[in-house]
Order: sequence, then C-alpha cells, then structure tokens
Amino acid sequence: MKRARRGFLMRFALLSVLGMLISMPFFWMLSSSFKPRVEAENADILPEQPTVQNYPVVLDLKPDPSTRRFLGMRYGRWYFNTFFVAVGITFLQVLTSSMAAYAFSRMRWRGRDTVFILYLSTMMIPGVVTMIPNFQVMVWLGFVNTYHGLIIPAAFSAFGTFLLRQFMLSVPPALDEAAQIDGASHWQIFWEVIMPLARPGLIALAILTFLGSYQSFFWPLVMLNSQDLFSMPLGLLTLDSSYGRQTEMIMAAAAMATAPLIVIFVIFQKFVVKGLQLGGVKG
Amino acid sequence: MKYLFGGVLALFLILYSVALLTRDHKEQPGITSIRWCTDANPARTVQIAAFTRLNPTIEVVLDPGARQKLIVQCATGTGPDVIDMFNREEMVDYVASGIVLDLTEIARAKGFATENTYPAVREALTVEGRQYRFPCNVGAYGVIYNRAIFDDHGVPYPDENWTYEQFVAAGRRILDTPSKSGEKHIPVANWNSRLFFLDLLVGNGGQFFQDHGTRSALDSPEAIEAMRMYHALMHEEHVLTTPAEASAMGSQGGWGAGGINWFSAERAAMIFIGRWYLCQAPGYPALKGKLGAARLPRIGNRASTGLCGARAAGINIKSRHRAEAVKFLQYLATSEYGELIVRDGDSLPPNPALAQTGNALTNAFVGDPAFHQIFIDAVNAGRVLDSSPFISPTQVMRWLDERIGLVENQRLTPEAAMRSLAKEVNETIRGSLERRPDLQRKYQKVTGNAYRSDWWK
Amino acid sequence: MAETAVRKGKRLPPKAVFGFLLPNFLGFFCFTLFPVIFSFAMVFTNWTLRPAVKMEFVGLRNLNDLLGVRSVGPGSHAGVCSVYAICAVLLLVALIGTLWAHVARWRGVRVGSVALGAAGVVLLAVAVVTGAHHSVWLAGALLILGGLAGALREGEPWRWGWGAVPALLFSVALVGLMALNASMWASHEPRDPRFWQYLFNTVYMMLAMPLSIAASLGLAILLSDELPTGPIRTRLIGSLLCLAAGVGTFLFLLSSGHGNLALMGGLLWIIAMLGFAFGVVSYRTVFYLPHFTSGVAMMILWKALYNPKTGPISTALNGLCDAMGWSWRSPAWLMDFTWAKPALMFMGLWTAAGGMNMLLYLSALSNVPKDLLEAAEVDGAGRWSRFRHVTWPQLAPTTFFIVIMAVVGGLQGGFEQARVMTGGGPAGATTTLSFYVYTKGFEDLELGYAAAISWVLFCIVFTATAINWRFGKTLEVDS
Repeated sequence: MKRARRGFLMRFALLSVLGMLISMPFFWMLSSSFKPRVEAENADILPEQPTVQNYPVVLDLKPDPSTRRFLGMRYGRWYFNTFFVAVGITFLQVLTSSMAAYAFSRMRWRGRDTVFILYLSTMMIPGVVTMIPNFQVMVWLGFVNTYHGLIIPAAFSAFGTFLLRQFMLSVPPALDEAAQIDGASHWQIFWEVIMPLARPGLIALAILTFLGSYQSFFWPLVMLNSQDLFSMPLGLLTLDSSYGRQTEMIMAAAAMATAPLIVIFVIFQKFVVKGLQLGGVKG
Repeated sequence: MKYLFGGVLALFLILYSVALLTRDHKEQPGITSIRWCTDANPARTVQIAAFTRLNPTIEVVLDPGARQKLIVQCATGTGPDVIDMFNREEMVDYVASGIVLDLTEIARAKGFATENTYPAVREALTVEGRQYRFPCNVGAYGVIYNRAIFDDHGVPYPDENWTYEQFVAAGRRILDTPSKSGEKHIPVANWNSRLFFLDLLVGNGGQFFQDHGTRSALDSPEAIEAMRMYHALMHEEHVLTTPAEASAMGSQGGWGAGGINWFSAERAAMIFIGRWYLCQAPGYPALKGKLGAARLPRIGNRASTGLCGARAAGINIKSRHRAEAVKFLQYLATSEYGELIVRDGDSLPPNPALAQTGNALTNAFVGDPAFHQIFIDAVNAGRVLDSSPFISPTQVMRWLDERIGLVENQRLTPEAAMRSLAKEVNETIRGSLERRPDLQRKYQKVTGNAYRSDWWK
Repeated sequence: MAETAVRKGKRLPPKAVFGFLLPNFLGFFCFTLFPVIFSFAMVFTNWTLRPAVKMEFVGLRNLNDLLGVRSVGPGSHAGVCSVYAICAVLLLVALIGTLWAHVARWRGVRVGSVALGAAGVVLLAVAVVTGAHHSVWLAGALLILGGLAGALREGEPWRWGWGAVPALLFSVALVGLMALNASMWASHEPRDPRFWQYLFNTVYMMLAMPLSIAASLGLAILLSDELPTGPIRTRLIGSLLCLAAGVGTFLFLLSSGHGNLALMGGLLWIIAMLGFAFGVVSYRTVFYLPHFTSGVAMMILWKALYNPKTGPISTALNGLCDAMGWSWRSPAWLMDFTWAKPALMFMGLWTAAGGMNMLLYLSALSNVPKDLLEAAEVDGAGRWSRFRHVTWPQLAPTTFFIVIMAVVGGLQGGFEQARVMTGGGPAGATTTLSFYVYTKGFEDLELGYAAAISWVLFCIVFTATAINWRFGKTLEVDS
C-alpha cells in the first residue's frame, strides 16, 4: 500500500514537472504579449511594466506606441480566412476520404488491395517533389491567389483514407450484409449504417485536419499574393519582416490565434484519442 | 449524418460568399488600380497619397509581399504592376527572366530617363544600355556617429578625410577606454554584413568581374584584402560585432534590424548607413542634436568611395495597366515626390536638382547642412558594382553571403573564402557557356572572339 | 435467396465503386499523380523560367550536376574516378543489401556481421590515425556496433550463406574507398558540394527521431493508467492544497526576487492541482499543446527563446554555470554553426514528444492484454522484464507505423524552420534538402535541377521506408 502510494506520488511529481517544462514556452508567449517594446526580449518571464496595449495594436485599433503608426494588420480578416479555409478543407477531406475508405473497406472488387497499397505509397512522396508542378497546375487552372486554390488541393489526403479505412474495417460485416439483403444500395448503407458507426474516426480526422490546416504555411506562402487572402501564419510573418521583429506584437497575435485551438482540443480530446485507438495502426 | 454534412456544406458556402464579397477594393468605376511591390516602410503611404492627389483616377495598392516569389509570380501572370528593385542585382535578374519592361523610349518621352538622375547611378538603372528602372531614391553610405558617445569616451570626431587606420583607432578607443558615464558602448553597429563588406570591396578598388564579365575578379588582391579587413575588424580588432553578438541585439526598441536599433538606443557609437536612417531617427528624440556624419574611411591612398545605388521602380512586362504604371514612374521624377524624400530623410531624391548642396536637404531632425553634404558627396563619389551577362548576380550575391558567413564564423580564412567564391563563379560561367548557345553568341559579341570550348585556358 | 444476395455482393458493378472513389481519385490524379509524373519528366529537362533559355531534353545532366564529380587537378585519371564511383555505388547497394538481409533473416547474416564489424574497426583506426572529421569516427563506431549487434543475434545459425554476401561486398567497397580516397579527392571535386552538405544536415537532424519516439513512449507509459487520486472529497482537498502551495511558492519566490523561478514554481503547483482534479486528461492536454500549436508563431517564439543574450534558455544555462562555478558560456544557438542544428532538433523534440506519437502509444498501451502482464508478474518478472517481453512486442506495430511516418516526415522536413527561423542557417548549416529544392526552384528558377534534387530525396525516402516495411513484415511473421 505504501509502495503504491510512493509510486503514485513519484508519478504525479514527474508528470507535473514535465507538464510545467513543456508548457513553459506558452507562458513565455503569454507573458511576452503583455510586455512593452523595451522589454520584449527580456529573459525575465514576468514583465516589469505589464501592458495590455499590445492587443489593441495587433487588432489595428490603436497605433503602435513606438512608431506612432498603425500596424496595418488585418487580424480579423486573416482569422476569418484561416477559419473558413480550414472548414472547407476539413469538410471536403472528411467527405472524400470516407467515401474512398468505404470503397476500400466495405466493397469487394478486383485489385482492391493492390490499388490501396499503391495509393498509400504516394504518402511517401516528399511534398517538394510535387511542389513546383503543382504550382504550375495551379497556374494553368487559374487557381493562383484564390481561395479555391488553397482548399481544393489540400482536400485530398491518402492519410485520411487510410485512417478511416482502418476504422471501417473494424465494423462487423454482418451489418451491411443485413442491409444489402434488405435491398439497400451502397450509398444508403454508407450513410445510414457505416458513417454513424465511424463517428469517432470521422471526428478524429476532422479535428486533425482542421488543426493541421490552421498551421499550414507552405502552400499559402506559394499561392497567395493578396493580403486580404492571407492565412494567420502568413499574416504573422508580415510582423517578422526586415522592418523589425516586433516580438511582443507577434506574441499577442499568436496568443489570440492559439487560444481557440486549445479550447477545441480540450473539448474534443476524448474523441481524438478514441478515434486513433480503434482506427488504430494495425498496419 | 447526412444532415450534418449538408449543414456544414451550407455553412461553408455562406462563409465562402461572405469571404468573396468582402474582398479588397472592388474596382470603382473610373479608377484603375495598380499594385506597387515594395517594402513595408510606413513612409510609402505618404508617397502614395501625394501621387493620388496628382492622379486622382489611379489608386496605388501597396504589396509588400514575399519578394523571393516575385519572378515566379510575374512569369505566371500574377505579379504586381510596379516593381521596386532594391539593387542592381535584382534588376539584372528580372531582366534575364524577362519580366520587366524596357523603358528606354518611354522614359525619354515622359521625362524619367537616366539623364534625369545622378550620373553616378545611371549604370545601375540599365542593362546593356537599355533602361529598366527609375530611382525612388538614390543613396550611398557614410558613417553616422553619435557625438555624445564620442565625447563620453574622449574620442575626437572623424574628420573629412579620415583613413581606415584612424577609424580602427577610434573604434578601439571606444571599446577600450572607459567612458565618463560608466556605460559601455560598442564601436560599430553592424546591421548588414554584405553591405559593409561591399563598401570595403569598393573602397579597396575591387570589383566582381574582369575580362568583359567572363572571369571573376573576386580572387584579386583587392578583393582578398577587403575580406581580410572584414575579418580583422571582427575577430582581431573586435570593432565589429560577431554574428552571435549581433543576433543578441534582436529587435529591442523600435523598428529596424538589430544593429540599427542598437545605434538608435545609443549603445553603439557608429553605424555605416545611408541618409535613410533619418526616417527612423525621429522615433528616438534622445538622438536629436547628437548625430554627426562622416565619409567612409579612406583605404590606402585612395579617395573615400563606396557603393552607390538606388531603390528603383520598374514595370512588369505583363502588367495590364501599363499607362498608369508609367504615370507612377513619371511621378518619381517630379519635385513633389522629391520633396517628400528630402523631408522624410529617405536618402537622396531621384532628381539631382533638389539635392545640390547640403542646405537643400536639411530637415526637421538634422538641421546641419554639413551632415547632408556628406551623403551628396558619397553619391557623387560612389561606384556601382559591375555584373556579368553570363551568370545571375543574385546567385553570386548569395554565394558571397555564404562566404561572409563562413568567415564570420571563422570556418574559412578570408583568402580561402574569396578563392573558392571566384572558383565557383568561374566554374558556373564555364558550364553555362558550354550549354547555352545564346550565351555563346553573347560571348562573341562582348569579347570579339568566337566561342571555343577551351576559351578559358 | 440469401445465396443470390451474397453472390450479388461479391462482384460489384463497377459503377458504385467509381462513384465512391471518384472524388478522391480525381483530386489524387490532378494534384498528386500528374504532378509526380510531370516532376519526373522535369528531371531530364533544363526547364527554367528564363525566356532566353529554350526548354530542351538534357538527359541525365541534372543528375550528373547534382551527384557527380568533376576533375580538377592534374593527374586525374579516368580510372581512379570510375573505380571510386563503382566502389561508392557498391557501398550503397551493399549497405541496403545488408540491412535487407538482416530484416529478412537470410542465412549467414551473423558471419557477415563479423565482416562488417571488422570493416568498422579498420575505418575507425584509419580515421583516428589520419585525424579525419568526427563524422567518420561516428561511422566507424556505428559499423562496429552494427557488426556486434548482428553477430550477437540469437536464433541465427553461425553458417555461411547468402546473407553474408552483402556485408562482405560492403567491406570490400569500404576498403576500396579508403584506399582511393586521397588520390580521388586530390584530383576531383564534387560538382555540387552544397548538396552533400544539405544531405548531411537532413540526415543529422534525423538523429533526434529515436529520442523523440522514446520520449513519446515514456510519456504514454506515464499516462497510461489513471491516477488513483481517490474520491471527490480527496481530490477537492488535494487540489486546494496544491493551489495554496502554488500561490505560496509564487509569492515567496517573487518576493525574494526570482521572477522566473516564481512563475515556474507556481506553474508546477497549478499543473499538479489540475492533475489532482481531473486526472490524466489534464496532463494529456498539456503534453499535446506544443504539437498542435506548432507553426509560424511557435517558431518565432523559439527564435526569441534562443536569443543568446536575453533569451531564457541562455540566461538559465549561464546562471547555472555561474552557480556551479563553470566557465562555459551558452553558445549563440541559431547563429552558431555547430549549435544551430541541435537547437532546432531540441525544438523538434519539444514539439513532438507529447504529440500524435504519444496518443498512438496511449491507444496501443491500452490494448495490451492485461492477463499477459499479470501472468508475467506472477511468474516473477520485474518491471523492466515485463516491459521488454510483454509490452514492447505488443507495441511493435505501433512503433513500426510511427517509425515509418517519422522517417518519411523527417527526411522531407526542415523547410519551415529554415524559412522562418534561420533562413538556411549560418552558412548553410540548417538548410535541409527540401529547403534547397525551394531555393533552387523558386529563387534560382532552375526547375529541372530542383526536380532532380527532389527525386533523389524521394529515392532515399523510398529506400528507408521499404526497409522499414520489410522489418515490420518480419515482426508480423514473428508474432
């Protein structure tokens, strides 16, 4: 009993220390966002003269006190862009991946497994291989510097198909055989039987895709020219230009951008874990 | 489940329409909109406002976007209309990529030809005699120093003709002599290694190419001496900060790259920079009255000289608003624009008539004409770096940056660095000549000899 | 009637399949397959965006420029060059063959391993004597370790067989390379030395991968069982105690002037309080935070954290050294040629330790059959032994998946760090191959060359994945 308690205490202590170390940078970010310019990069975590001025400046409600000019950051717009592009990508990806996963798992057809392996192996292709031709394709299609240019290429993912296929494989086949006997078409089976059962997997994929597209930096960097189309990462970069890295502004912007993500994750955490669990990595 | 997806789709479509409807500047009737790709300097808004007053039917949209993608953007038809080229290398590269318009005839007709600006900088605006850009501002570097810090350490101010040795001595005294106030200062705020080195190169009489651009001159004794001086200043005299120390300067206080901030925060005594420093200086009222300027130190028995260049604007060859872009370039040659440059201290105006003497350039922050005269003299005595038609100048600059970085980190001796750079340039030129018939024709035109495969032996 | 239904289910009308697959495959064709083929074609052209250069087919020229050598000094024999090239190719093939033979359990691998180890000893000896770069020492040590590992492998017979051949070829090739090394590099030089430097960078940065996976596993183990904190009342009391302790520590340290330590202490107690109140869920959230908030903002943050004068990391390290009386000063991290890569690797470790890998391990750990563990405990197996013989094999498929994803991702990575934090690093120290492709393609506009680089990278990724895959297959056969 005593040993168990000691073991528990040690585990508890270790977890807490690790948790503190891992979350330190976030607190550094938070506290930096409350520092005035002169202290922006001080090592002391707590600001000596805390200020809340950085937040209105980032939101372009007030001019930057040191240059006495507005930053011209279109924070709200960039936030909106990132959110809505993420919604689009997530929606398309979940839809197309689940349909393809259904075809790969519940339907039997010749060559199904070979095609799947080939399809999966494309995940191995480094993004850089397709970077330039993809851009050229975008130019030919006229998708450069547009929203659909951001959403459509990112909406197809072999990883999503893989995850959902694993998930759907674990659903007992008796269910759809019964539905088939009742005369249901595949489309109906898909929507009425399989999808509801695959809900944890769908949520997991949705959350992962949503959060992932929030961070995506490279493709928007290549595709976008107009400021009103920028996503948050690109927008943050404008604060890091050769005209000076305004650390405390960036931290304020980042803190505002990160907070909703944390909330989303806290709420949906259970689903993500469960989704990865059953969807699993059974190879 | 179907309804969930349907609902999300509906939400997405609503958001999409909102996003599209709220996009920037719906084109108002009668107003053409052109995009100007330049840096994010807040002074641009004032310059644009003045242009709009003169040309009410044209709207200029600032596009500070990623300059690395510029060529790709323009080549694929999504580029801006007016393109700022910050140095000659960019211009040569853009011309080779075929994205900028040949301005020679238009400029002559509309009054922004090379004759309308300083003689020293004309070569930087043309490639093989054809003009491709017109200056937004013209500049050359001098040394701006903080009189208060010099007094603090008991160091006499730099004089008109000061030499390199005097500069090093002054720097050492600031480093070694304790100040009256007890504060420590660093001698020189090194905010851009490449430009500092290029000034040393020009000051030593070095250049990039020889033999009509077919061979690199970066392993010449002058170039090696320039790199050796750079290395000595950093690692032997400690007058220049090492990259580690420079990065530690971060961006505390005000905008501008690290070194500039340290000078503005009065932690550094000198800075090698152009008159455009005055754009930022008013943000530091403590500096008022303390700024002095001197020419770049003379090297050997040469006169003081350095790099002179221009941030100049050109026109995208695929621009759909060519006439409006031309109007913008015309505006750059006017005195309205020039006066803004003078007033804000953004280097020298493109129109030399506005900058005949230091008196013409005095502004609110620095009233001393001698200060401004330094920069006028620097431009007139400045030199433009040469380039070669057989290799991309930005590529050479990038390799030069790498070598400078290696010397700063003491991973290569100065001599080895310059020799390897010259070798790389020569190898690349040889390879390009071998493979490209258009370059072979150029070789013939430029050297007068037919191209042979062993031409370099 | 049931039979016809079943038969109908077996052979589907293709229409339905198409319908389901179409959207995904359409995107796949447009944005994956076609660009891949296009990119492959580009490797053999001289495509640039410069109008003066006509696009034409140039065969293997790009690959030669990338991987080849050119003769430089006098005394360069074509003979030396070609023998050296043959040895290099043989070395590569033999290395892959050796790894394959090991994972595929060919006969004779143990004998071959001896040859491998011997080659390693020779390499190390030569490297020490001639004072070669320390990466050569590392290679020699790795070979010795590999040889030992292979030789000590239980369950394999000490017999001669095909499995020894790759290792022998490897040793022969290595000896050949060592013999010709001096004369080769006296008269030749690589055509693109930057490629090799960036390849080295890319592989170097993969060294953090085992650490990161181990860290994820460790965290998962710590989190795998619920914390037995007891009923609500205990939890409430415990949480309040932690809160009080936190406030107290914070105020105490703050008043004694240690702002940073105050925050750290207070934070520690707050996290403990959350753990008490909500159990492992709160720790899981905290650990996962770095993973999904990674991105541009985090990189800019870490750039500030790594500031050698004012960043907390340097300040803390310097403070520690002062306190212990050491004279070591913190290096300039991202501006220091030697320390830039380790700094980035540490940041990567922080980001990934509690990330997706931890979640995958958590799910896998919860699937380990409890009765096996109990049986082992009854048999008297200690904690470590239980882990090694029961848990670890059960985790094998997960580890396999994680390693594959890590290798694939790691070899292609480094772009964002280079772009946002270091611009390629002090003198190219943090440029990885993917960043090189970007600069060559978008800045130098040499698109054919950039495609060549990316395909070489693909070959490396493919080979690594294939070996991993085979290894995983072996595990499946075993279990």
